[in-house]
Amino acid sequence: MRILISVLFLLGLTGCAEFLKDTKNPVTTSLEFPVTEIKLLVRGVGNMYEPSTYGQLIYTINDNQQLLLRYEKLKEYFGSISTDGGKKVEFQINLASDTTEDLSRLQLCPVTRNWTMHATWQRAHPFGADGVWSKEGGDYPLADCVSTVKEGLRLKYDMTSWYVNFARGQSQNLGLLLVSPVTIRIAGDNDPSSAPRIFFQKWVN
Amino acid sequence: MTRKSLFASLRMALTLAGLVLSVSLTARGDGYVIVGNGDDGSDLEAAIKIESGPIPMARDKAVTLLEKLNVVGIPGLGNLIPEVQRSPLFLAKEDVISSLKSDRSNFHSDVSGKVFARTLAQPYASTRFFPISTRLEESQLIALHIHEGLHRALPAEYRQDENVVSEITLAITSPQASHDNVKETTQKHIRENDIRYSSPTLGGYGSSLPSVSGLGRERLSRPSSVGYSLSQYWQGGPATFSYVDRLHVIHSDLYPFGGVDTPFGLGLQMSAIEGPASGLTMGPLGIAVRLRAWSIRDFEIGIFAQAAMNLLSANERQVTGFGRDVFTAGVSMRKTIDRFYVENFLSVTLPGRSDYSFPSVGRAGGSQPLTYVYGTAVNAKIRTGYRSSTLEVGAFVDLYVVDNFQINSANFNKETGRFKLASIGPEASMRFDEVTVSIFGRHILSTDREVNFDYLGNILQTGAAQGSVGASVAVSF
Repeated sequence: MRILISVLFLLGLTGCAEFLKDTKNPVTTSLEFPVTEIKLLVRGVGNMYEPSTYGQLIYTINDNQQLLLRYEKLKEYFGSISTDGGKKVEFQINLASDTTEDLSRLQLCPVTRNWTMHATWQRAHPFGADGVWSKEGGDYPLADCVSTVKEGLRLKYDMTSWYVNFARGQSQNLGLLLVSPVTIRIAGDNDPSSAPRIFFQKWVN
Repeated sequence: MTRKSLFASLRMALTLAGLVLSVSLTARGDGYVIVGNGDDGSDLEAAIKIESGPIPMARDKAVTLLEKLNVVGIPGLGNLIPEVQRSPLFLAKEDVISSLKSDRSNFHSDVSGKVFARTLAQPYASTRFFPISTRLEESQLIALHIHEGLHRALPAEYRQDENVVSEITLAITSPQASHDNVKETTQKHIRENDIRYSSPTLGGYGSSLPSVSGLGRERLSRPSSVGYSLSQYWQGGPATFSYVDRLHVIHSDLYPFGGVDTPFGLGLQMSAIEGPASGLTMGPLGIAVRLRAWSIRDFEIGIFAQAAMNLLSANERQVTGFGRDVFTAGVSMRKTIDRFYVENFLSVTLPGRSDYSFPSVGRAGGSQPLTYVYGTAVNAKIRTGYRSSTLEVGAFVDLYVVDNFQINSANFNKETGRFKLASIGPEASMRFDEVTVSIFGRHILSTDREVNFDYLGNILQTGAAQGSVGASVAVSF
């Protein structure tokens, strides 16, 4: 009987320790991933397989060309991404070459219509009538677009609000759209070292 | 009809009636007679090939008459047109006096006993004319061509029977001849079970899959074929996702099993898909098993099962969306009425799925595959058109009713629900001996939910995108 009581006592202590560890001293780890879906929407190009719209080293963004981005596996982390204490969900995009243009209007915007890699300037996907963008070039609320912070060639976007309200909040990762009224050139997905990336903190415990 | 032509017709009818009567009386006394070259030396004299003149011209008119009467559709006469059309013609230098039993027919010799023509009672044998035949009128030469052709074309049990051959000749050449009259006369003598068919059918490749119509009665003795077909697809709208430009198919259909009237065989189709995104990639391997099950009241009933197997390995990325296994089974019914044919198909295709990857996504990660889930499809198809001995021109209407179609990926899920897809298309085939050349097309007639042929995932049978045009060439053997 004494042995049994001792075992139960030890188990109880262990459980309390685990509880204290989870609540008082949470641990997170930083994760970063290259964005897996990148598709360039080009005004006037309806061919969904146009080779220059995916798998490129460099993309040019301007009034007539906008870039769709999505990290496809983000949904797997919806329950474990921490945004407490100023922790961010951040996207980083590298400029292909430095620029003196005003980048304040180079914005990353939440996409509000689901899309596939077949997306074009006119269509989000080819599967049925609902595949047509309501506004050519992509559907997004301008008010929720985020401006960049430039650090050298690196453009940083704090997309925490997007993650909380659009992705996790709606339990649907529709990705982001990079829009710019000025012409800039960014590094594409054909070079893993400089491809657009997502950064976030994940609970370890 | 003018008085002159009326008299000519009556004179011709009386002449032929007289010929047949005397043949019948002759044959009745001796039983059937043998037609062919004798061994009495009379056929050893030289002969020259006839290339032009009244005899070949009469042959062309004989073929026209046979086509007009649609003898292809009459059991037992399926070979008659090719036999009349293709038999090499020779002209002997001198007349011979009839010495064979076969020469005693008035279709073969005149009242003085001189022989008009001789042939060997075997398929594809030549026809030897004698100088006296050049004195015959055109209508008589036509009758002579048909008569000699019947000796080669009828089933073996009947082709040497002068009574049968003469009566059918008269039925065909009579001024009042009609398809029904000829058919009635033929059926009076020839039992259905003795019929062996041998001319190849037309239009077997109206679609890119071997058609069960290829089991039509005219092709039964040469049901096997090998050939190539090319289909060109048009996108025609933004809602197609396959983006396939062309399909190349090499097919081989062999029918080693079953009876003469019920061939049973296996067809293989090696295919390659060509598109701007995928380049030239391996397409499905088609395997088809077909059986002409039975024939009743001129209806041809066939059953078939088809499989289109995905040949890509796990390491190969499926960039077309057609990497699914397709299993289809169904029945076909065909009826030929004079110069027209009607063919119905009813089939069911089992559900399936394929994983699709967008081509050549950057090295940074690559996108997750989309999974296409295809529902059960029920297909009803009607083919109809005009046919002659060498030409078949028609059209088809095709209706698919499909349970559902789903697209699934990590972030994109969508389904169409039950949908229908009706299509229509022209078909035309021309036969040059054993070679059949076909052209065909397919276009969406009506649909809902903005679907197209991509949603069927069955490129070998229905194609892709909004429709197609194509051509094929096949050799029957």
